[in-house]
Amino acid sequence: MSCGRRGLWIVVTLITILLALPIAAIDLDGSFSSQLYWYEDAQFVHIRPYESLRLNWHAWQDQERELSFHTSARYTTDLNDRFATDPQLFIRSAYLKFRCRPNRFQINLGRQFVYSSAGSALIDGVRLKFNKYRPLELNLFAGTSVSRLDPEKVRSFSDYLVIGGRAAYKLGRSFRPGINWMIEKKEGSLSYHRLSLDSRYNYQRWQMYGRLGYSPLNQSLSELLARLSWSRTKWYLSAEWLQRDPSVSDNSIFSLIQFDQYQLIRIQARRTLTPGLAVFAHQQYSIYSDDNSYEISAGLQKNDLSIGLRHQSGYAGDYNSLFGSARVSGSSEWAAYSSFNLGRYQVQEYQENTIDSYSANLGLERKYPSGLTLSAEIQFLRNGLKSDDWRTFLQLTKNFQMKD
Amino acid sequence: MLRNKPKLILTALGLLLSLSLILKAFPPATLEVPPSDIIFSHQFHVGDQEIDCESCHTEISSSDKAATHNLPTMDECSACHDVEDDETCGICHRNSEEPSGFSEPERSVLFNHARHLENEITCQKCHAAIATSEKSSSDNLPKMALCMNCHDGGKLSNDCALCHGDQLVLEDIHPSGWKNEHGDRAAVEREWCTGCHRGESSCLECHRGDNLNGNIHDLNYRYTHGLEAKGKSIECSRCHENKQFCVSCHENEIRMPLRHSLLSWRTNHGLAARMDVENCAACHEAGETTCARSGCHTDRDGIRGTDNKIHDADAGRFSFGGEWHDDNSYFCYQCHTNTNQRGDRFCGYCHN
Repeated sequence: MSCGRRGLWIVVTLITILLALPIAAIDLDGSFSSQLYWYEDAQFVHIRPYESLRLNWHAWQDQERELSFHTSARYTTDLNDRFATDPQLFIRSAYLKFRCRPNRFQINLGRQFVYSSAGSALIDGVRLKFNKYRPLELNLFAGTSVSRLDPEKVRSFSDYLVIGGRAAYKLGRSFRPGINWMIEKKEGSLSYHRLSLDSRYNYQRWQMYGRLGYSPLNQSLSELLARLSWSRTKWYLSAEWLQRDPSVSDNSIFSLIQFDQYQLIRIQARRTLTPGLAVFAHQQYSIYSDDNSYEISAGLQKNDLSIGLRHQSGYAGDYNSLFGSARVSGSSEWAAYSSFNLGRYQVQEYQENTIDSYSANLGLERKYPSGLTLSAEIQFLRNGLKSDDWRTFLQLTKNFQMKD
Repeated sequence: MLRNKPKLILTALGLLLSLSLILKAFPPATLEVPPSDIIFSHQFHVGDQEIDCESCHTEISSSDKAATHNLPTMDECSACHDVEDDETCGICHRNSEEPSGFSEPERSVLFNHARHLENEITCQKCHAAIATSEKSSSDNLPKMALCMNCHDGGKLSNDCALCHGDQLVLEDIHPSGWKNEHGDRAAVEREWCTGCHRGESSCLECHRGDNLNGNIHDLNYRYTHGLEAKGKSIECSRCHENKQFCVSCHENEIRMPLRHSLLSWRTNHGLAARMDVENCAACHEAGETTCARSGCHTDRDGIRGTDNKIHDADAGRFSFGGEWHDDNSYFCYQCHTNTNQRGDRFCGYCHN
């Protein structure tokens, strides 16, 4: 049986299991969304429809146990000139969830996104959550990673295994130290193996988070992160220091050469001047072994209107831009929105001239009481590579809820 | 560099553990109802005596603000209790010498009891455990996650302003650096996210793998993304599988960094790779022009360390030990990874 057919069979099997169960009442919610994106590139006019479905089916529950099915999927193609990947059906999630409240146990079976502080992946597999023996919380997952380019396939365990988890100890309301672990194989060999220890703590107006990552393969620390933030009624301040290895697979040819770590220092601040009016600033230093880069942005926000400036210079190139966004609601049913970005950049010092880039969009949104939302948006782009590029984006979304 | 420093690891672990213990000594921030003089058992009144909520909270069905004083006064108590009898103050007041009323917490949340009751949302739906509660405490107040069961952004709005008015905007919760931080928060404290965002499907509002309307990246991001990628403003690989994602444009459309065409690139690309290997790996890992496959760094004779295209033919005839063997900063290690393990990569050349 081909891998693609095997994926389809797994989805069919999951739904069949669900249908075979005694379903007490229909309890469905979700959304269906149709989008149409219309633009022209150097050669062709592209007319791309996207059909998306999100569904939560609460199939059965009593006081202690609960079984549900969750899925989200999107189909896309091009009505005029297809890309190599068209048409594509991407099932992003399709899993059964069983939850037993007295034992504080949950199992998810099927395609799902899993993550811990040691890494994340989209897998076909199983996730277990168990926290009966509080304050100990266990999260474990295992499966095969999903290819983003060929998502219809379910790949083999021997070549694309993903295993990981998190064991956390919850002390009080807000102190959560945890140990995380993840292994991922690609093309048959180990491409990622990380252990991490992290902790979060809230004390009065302070929030702290720290993480320490370790690579067993290289026998070295792969990441150190410390973040501290402070907030009160009108202020939010945050500082972060991160030192990490570059993201290179352990089975990559690049893992054979010696490479250096990066350091990032980020600071951000937000000050509310009057209700609804705030100023914000964000600053980052990227420190490489042989160079630096610097970035700062600052702006003003008044309810749904915001405007700001950004400046970047150093190894990562020069960039200056003015950006903003606005959303104006005529009523609970109508809204108009817009955003823009006017930039001038130079990717690297070898580039002789700076390049201007402009982008803007303007849209109208209409919400109906039935859960239907209709929006139409016009987009405009201009830059050094493309002259005036006009695009149209239409979206129709229906939120639904069915309950006996 | 932090490689091969187990002592440093142990020190860091020790520091983290010490910090954890120090922090544990301080109580975390909590939102408690201020200490009250009133002794009151909902279990007795509601559970055992089956007294209706509105018998005591008389104005609740017309209350349109959470800040309204919805707690009963002695007038309501006097319907059953003899409040004039000085001898029985201690039944309800802890301090019967100087009895006082409820100390209400400051309420900044907007809440309309009248509208919820009109829509047949019963008291128990939000104050679920009230009939078994033996004392007045913040445990009797509904948590935000409960509100979000109905206010899920579908038929009922989940707009912050609906309950928090102008006291809270989205950026207060998710400030400008949130793109970098939210993954860490979700990994450690998933229920904090699900308090507002119902289920994983809401993650897909952003993580749906396209850039159709500029919600995640600016519409011109296709042309300016190199600035953020090199600057590490965001870690591209958190969302994109670099190996295939970058190549789908860079190789297919032959988008090559300008400096590759400089004459000096041939001699200094090694140093550039050492400084920012992610930049190289983004394209070359999946393409046909990796270090070895391009033909430049291919070990063509198959004998380790003897290919003079890479270095001199006798480069592999170093004597064992010596300066290069123990000095991790030695030039050999600009290319070769010292794993310090028998049979593994560079060490495996000799230590089989």
